[in-house]
Amino acid sequence: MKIEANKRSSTLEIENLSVAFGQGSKSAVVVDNISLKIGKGEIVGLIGESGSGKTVASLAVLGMLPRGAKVVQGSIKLTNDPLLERTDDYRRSIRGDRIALIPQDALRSLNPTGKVGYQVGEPLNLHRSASWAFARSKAIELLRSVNLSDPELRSEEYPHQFSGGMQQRAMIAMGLSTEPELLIADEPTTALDVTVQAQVLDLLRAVRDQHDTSILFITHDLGVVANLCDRVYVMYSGAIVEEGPVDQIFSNPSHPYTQGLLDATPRIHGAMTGLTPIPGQIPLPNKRPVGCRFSDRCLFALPQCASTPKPITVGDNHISYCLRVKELGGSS
Amino acid sequence: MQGKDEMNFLSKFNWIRHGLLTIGIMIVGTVIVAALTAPIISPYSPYDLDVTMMLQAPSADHWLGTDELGRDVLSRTIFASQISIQVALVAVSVGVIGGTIIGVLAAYFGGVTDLILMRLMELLFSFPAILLAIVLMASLGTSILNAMIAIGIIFIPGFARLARATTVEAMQQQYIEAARSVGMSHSRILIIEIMPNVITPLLVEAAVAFAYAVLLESALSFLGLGAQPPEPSWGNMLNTGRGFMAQAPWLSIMPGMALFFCVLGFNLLGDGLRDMLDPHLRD
Amino acid sequence: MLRLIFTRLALFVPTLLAASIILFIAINVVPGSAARSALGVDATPQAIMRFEALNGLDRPLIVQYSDWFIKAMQGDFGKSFQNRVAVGPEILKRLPVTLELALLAFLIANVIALPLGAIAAFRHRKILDVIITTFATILGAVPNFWLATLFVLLFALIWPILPAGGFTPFLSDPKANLIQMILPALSLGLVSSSLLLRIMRTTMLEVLNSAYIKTAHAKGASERVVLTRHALRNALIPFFTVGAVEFGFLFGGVVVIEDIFRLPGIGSLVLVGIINRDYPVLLGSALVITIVVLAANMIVDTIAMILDPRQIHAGER
Repeated sequence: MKIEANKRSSTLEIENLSVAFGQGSKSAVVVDNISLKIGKGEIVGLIGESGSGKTVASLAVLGMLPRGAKVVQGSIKLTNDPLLERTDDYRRSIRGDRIALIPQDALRSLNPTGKVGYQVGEPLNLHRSASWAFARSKAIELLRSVNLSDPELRSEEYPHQFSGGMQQRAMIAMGLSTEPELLIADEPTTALDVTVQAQVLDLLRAVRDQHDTSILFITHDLGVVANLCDRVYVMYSGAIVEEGPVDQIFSNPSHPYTQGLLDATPRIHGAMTGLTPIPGQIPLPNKRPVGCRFSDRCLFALPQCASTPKPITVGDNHISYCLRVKELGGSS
Repeated sequence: MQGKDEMNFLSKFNWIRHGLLTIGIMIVGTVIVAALTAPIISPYSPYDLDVTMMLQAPSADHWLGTDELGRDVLSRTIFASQISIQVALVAVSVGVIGGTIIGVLAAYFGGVTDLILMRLMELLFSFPAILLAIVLMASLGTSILNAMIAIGIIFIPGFARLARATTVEAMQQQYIEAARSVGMSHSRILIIEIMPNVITPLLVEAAVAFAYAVLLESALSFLGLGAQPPEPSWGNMLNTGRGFMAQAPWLSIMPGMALFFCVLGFNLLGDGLRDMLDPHLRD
Repeated sequence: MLRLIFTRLALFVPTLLAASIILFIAINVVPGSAARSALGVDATPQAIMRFEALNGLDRPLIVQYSDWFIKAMQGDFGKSFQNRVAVGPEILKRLPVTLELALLAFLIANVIALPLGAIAAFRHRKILDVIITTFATILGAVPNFWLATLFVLLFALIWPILPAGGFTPFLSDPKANLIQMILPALSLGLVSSSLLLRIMRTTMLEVLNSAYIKTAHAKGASERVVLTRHALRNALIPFFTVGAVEFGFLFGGVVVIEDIFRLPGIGSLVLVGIINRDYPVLLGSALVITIVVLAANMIVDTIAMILDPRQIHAGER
């Protein structure tokens, strides 16, 4: 029963989304036909290197695509609400309200001339017609909920007076202020050191546990994904190459790129077999190989790889887009 | 939606950008050609009086009319470009040479030298330029030559600051370390390694300074402190024109128009050069 | 932060000192020029000597300078070479006129520059931006004295709706005063506005590209909110700092504008000083103008510092 309800009303449902920059002959498809689902209370990771299109995809969800970028096909639904069919004003009204962004660089993402309390409470002022006094008091509660000590004092301070970890937690508090259905966290832990990272991840988990908030966690850091996420989508050069529950992805990586990422990740536990970076570079959007876009860097590429990749089920909810996955026997 | 343009497809705008540069080059070119060929292209001599023809409105004989002594305004306007160009040339040269020396020395030797020199430059910079020029000319004397010197002195701080910045940047490059370690003398390093990198941004600033020099010279002659009549300068032509505004408004309009276009041309040139040579300075 | 402000104030005095030295050196670049200029080319050596003795010009320069500066700081700017009238009171009488002109011009310049610069940045690379930037470029090339002349031609002669000059003190007739100030302030302010506009546009563009503006958008703030609540204050800080340079240009223009509109301010006093080679007059009025410019710079710098919370705590950490 519960599974069916989740299936029907996933918080975020992206179908066949493609985003292109530019027009005509100069256009480049940066997000290529991706489909993605996040259920209520799920933490879903979107892994990819820079240039994979993961950030652009998140901007498409937010409705914040930069000038020159356009959705060329597909649909984005927020709890059955077809966002792409809505007006700009509507999308702005839900931005910061039903969908909240936790951006990467917390220090630079905070207005240096504004008190933290005001910034944290601002979404309430923008979307719930809250007075500034009310927004401020709510902000203090929020800062307390993200484990900032002396929240009354903190809310009157300015961003440069906060440490890196405190800033990131303030950003999370800001995102939570309107109790959004979906949190998009864009590399929130990249600039933090390990202990602070762990605190932030715990915080996100607590948010999900207490509010049933869905989280789209965008990162290139596999360790963090393993720690936090329920399910994972692996993105390469604009397309999804593998998707599945996190334990399966890690125990049974089913795409050469995923395997490559794992090999290139330093790990403390387990045998340190040496880091093997993936040879080559992510291709530019208009210089991709035909068919499987990883084929020009893939050790297992064959001529058939020039055909359009198709989803192949390799486990429970675990899908790979490598047509050789079965014969390569999953993890190598 | 505000945001970074991943690929800029407003090529129309880029064309306009370079269009401005082209216009600037055209205008400056016209002014320089006019200055160089003034005796050839002017219909009359700028000094030819004809009291019977004074204060005539623009006509077929005198395209821009005549002034209070019957002289042809068009010819005088053309010849005035010579003065503007000369003054600007000398002034900017003085400024560039003096400023570069000071700036490069300050950057190269650093420490106290740098501190003192730059504080001095900063102070000079905050003076209203005309004021300093006037005070200088009180002592030097109020002639065109002194105007050139005074304006040149005013330009020194600006160029010094620029030269210092580019020198500091150049010095942080590896090849200076390499040259030092091989035992190159200070002066060789300065001339061979540092100077070439300093020249380019200096050129851009020089173009803008040119415009300002023309403006300053005109302001000074307008006040009666630069070129003296009968020498034609746009500034002093506008000044005499003041007295005849009711009877002969063209005297107040035409030379000013020439002045405006000259300044505009150099400004466009400077802006255009900056956009081309130093793209990271663009927005 | 108070400490920072005090430091600024404390720096004012040595800066003023240095500026006065520069002016003094500038006017004495050619030694002996004072007497020769005042008396003319045919002056006999005896007349020159007498003149110099009378005016203390035969003393060593350093003595002359310190004497002049110390007295000036007490308000005694010496006596005019021309008519032996005390310069100080004349300067004092004329100061309000210049201040009023500069203030009005500054106001006009900012009223134009701030909104247009912000809009141009907001509509970066779109038609509106191109129009505004082109307009600013063209305006910036207009010589302010030519603009003033054109204004007089247009609004005082052809359509006589505004006066061509003259000055009534504000306190005796505010309306007449302001009407007389319209053309002068416009001539000065319009040309200044072009530089300020471009500075505002640049600083605003930098701000708009910042991560925190992206955050504001991500919170669903409207363009108006982003601009007024987030972008403006952050853009004003560098604007003030960089824009302070405009004061020098503005006050330079005062000399010419006061001459054209026959305003009895310090600018025209400078002119009187140079035309008559009246050194005490020239030196005194130049010094006062410099003081005003330096003070204005300092005030604006301080405002920028106060607006910036990062500065407020800089002294404390």
